Amino acid sequence: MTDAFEPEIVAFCCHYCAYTAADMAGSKRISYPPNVKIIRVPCTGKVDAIHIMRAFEKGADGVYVAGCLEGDCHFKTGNIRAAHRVRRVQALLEEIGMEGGRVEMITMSAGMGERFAQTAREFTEKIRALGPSPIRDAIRQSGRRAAG
Amino acid sequence: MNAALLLADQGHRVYLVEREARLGGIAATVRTTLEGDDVGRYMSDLVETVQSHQKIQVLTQAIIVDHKGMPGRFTTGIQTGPRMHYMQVEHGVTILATGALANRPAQYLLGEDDRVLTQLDMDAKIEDDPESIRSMKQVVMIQCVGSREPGNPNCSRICCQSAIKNALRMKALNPDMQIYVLNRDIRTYGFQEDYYREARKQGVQFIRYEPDRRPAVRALENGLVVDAYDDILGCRLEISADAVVLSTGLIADDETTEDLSMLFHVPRSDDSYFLEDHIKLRPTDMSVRGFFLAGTAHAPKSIRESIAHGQSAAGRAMTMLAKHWINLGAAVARVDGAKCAACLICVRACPYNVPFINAEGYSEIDPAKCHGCGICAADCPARAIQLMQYEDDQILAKLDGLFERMN
Amino acid sequence: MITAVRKSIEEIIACVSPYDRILLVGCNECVSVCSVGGRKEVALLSSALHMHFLKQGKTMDIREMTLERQCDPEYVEELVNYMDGADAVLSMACGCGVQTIAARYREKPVFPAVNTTFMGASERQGVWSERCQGCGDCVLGITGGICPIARCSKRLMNGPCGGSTKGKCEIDANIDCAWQLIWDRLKALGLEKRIEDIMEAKDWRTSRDGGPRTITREDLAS
Repeated sequence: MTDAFEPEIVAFCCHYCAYTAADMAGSKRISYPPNVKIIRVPCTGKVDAIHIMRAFEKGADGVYVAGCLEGDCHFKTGNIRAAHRVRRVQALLEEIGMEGGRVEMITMSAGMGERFAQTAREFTEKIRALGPSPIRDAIRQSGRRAAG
Repeated sequence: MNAALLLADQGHRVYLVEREARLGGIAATVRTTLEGDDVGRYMSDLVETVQSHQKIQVLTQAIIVDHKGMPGRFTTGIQTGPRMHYMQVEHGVTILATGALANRPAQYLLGEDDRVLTQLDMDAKIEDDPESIRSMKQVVMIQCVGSREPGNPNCSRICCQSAIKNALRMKALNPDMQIYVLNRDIRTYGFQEDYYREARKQGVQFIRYEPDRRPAVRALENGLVVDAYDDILGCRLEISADAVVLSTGLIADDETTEDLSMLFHVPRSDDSYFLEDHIKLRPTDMSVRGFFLAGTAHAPKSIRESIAHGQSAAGRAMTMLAKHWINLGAAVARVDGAKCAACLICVRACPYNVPFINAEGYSEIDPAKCHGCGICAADCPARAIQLMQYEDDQILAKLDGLFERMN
Repeated sequence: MITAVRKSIEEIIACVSPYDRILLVGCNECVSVCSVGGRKEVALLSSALHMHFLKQGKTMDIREMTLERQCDPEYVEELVNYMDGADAVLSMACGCGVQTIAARYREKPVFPAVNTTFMGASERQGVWSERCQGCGDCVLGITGGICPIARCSKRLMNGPCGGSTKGKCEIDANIDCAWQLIWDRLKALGLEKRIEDIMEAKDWRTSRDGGPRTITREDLAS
């Protein structure tokens, strides 16, 4: 295949900050890379380590959890717990020989449309530099084997 | 105040919490609108009606100190009066109408030379000291001062109309006066355009400037001189002026909105105004149920627009207040008792102390108390808790959907 | 409660890599409570292993099961229908659970995915510390409710030793000296005279020194 690598990125966005910031980016006509696919959650505290792992298992090249600024969580401590879980998943990925940097915790307030777009761009570029997830390649390979 | 009045007229008890000693905010200092409405009289009538309304309790010199509860049943602690007396108020909805601040940036000699005024100053001067206006020969207005620039990228929305309002009033007092309006573009939207046309007809000169070639104001003994560059003529102008009037617009009351957004957990925009839930679909509601926005706390607005926004807030608030039952939605955590290991992790993790281990020995979560954050569901080691509407299966199905075309 | 920590993924991989079909079994008791071997951890380990082997070009068949309690044969019996579909069993329970499975399903290799550490109490969310060593002859009644065997580094029965400094143990300044705690507690109870009573040499035959222990309740045993 000759087509260039386009990272597949999942962003778990909390309803009160990051998701609204994404909306804000939209209404301000700020564009962000189409690589980023958003899944809305009520709070980043809802993002289970398993959800992040499953995203990688299904072929995500990068995952980020975007919540409120520290101290601003609508549910008091959800973003702090989410940050702990993200660190745990980073360690787990490294244990199986993947880059921990493929998962990240990002915070922003609801009004930060520009920051949403900017972090989406930065994260996409970071993952682009890391290259495709080995899992994604493996899924393709096994799919091809099965098909062939 | 308009929102309060509307709600009170429909029989709801309203607590009006005012930080200052008197009601009215900036509007109480404005004398007239572009359309010629007498703002002073309107405001004094409004304040009197509000203050004497049986259903409205006005708390002045008041600050909000604590807040808890759920939509339809909030409890807010307020310190009020000169002695900072503490009281708690139970309320079903909250309307935020904390206003904005009149901007006074230290530009163009504002604050250094008393011949440099803001539109708000000029509005009062025309009313209070018409003689001084009659003695002026030339006046220069500068638009977009402290707006549409880094730090405050917003258009303040009201400056163009106040400039034209004051220009027309000065012309009425002194038809021979020469008025120059240095602007980046004139935004007299809607029917305000008629007044713009009228101003041009009366000889008010509108001159465009570019932000990278701003005018400059010099103070001389016998008057002010404004240096400007006229893009259309392609040459520099030197205009002598008896007064320079700056259109400084509004800025968000950063300190107030920050304090309140922390207390109420409501979001703010990048430029420190309160943020509506959706710019088009829910322009008066906030993302937190039971919170509504009115007036310039949300964005710069004219008095008429602020009143309309207040009425809209009252209308939206009524949709909650009119009901005996409020459906708070089904996004609450539910425990599968058969899976629960009674490990206490949810009990400790919940930010609102909702879960408890019941008599049957498993965790129980009262759906009426659950705020629906899902922290317990994500921390449960036995995967015994699901947050309705965001169940694991639903999230995994979304992931499947995203990666379907790849796998 | 019995506490445990997960083994490194590397060690787990080394155990299971010769096989193609793994039955990954969690336990809903102690190891769930200390967040190391319940349904959540089973799912996470399964996901990590799955990805690891996928990278190697191998699709590992991992079936997840979490039993109510792995140290009871009746619960372990629930695995019977899944054994045919598995080449090996990976258990996330404490050593008791691993052995109960190994005893029941003799033809399958069983591997532990966690290291069983100690009998402990939870101090707060996410923090557990050792409280009991199961010596078989409890002295808590005379030591003010603080166990010198589990909590004194030297298991001194008549402490403290000379290494007790400002209430901390010489082994680690973060560890409280158990005998300081005992003294403080006895004093608070007005029983400080008791510290002068010499405890006789402990009969360790009730502990591990007497060999592996069993309990038989005649009234219950059948």
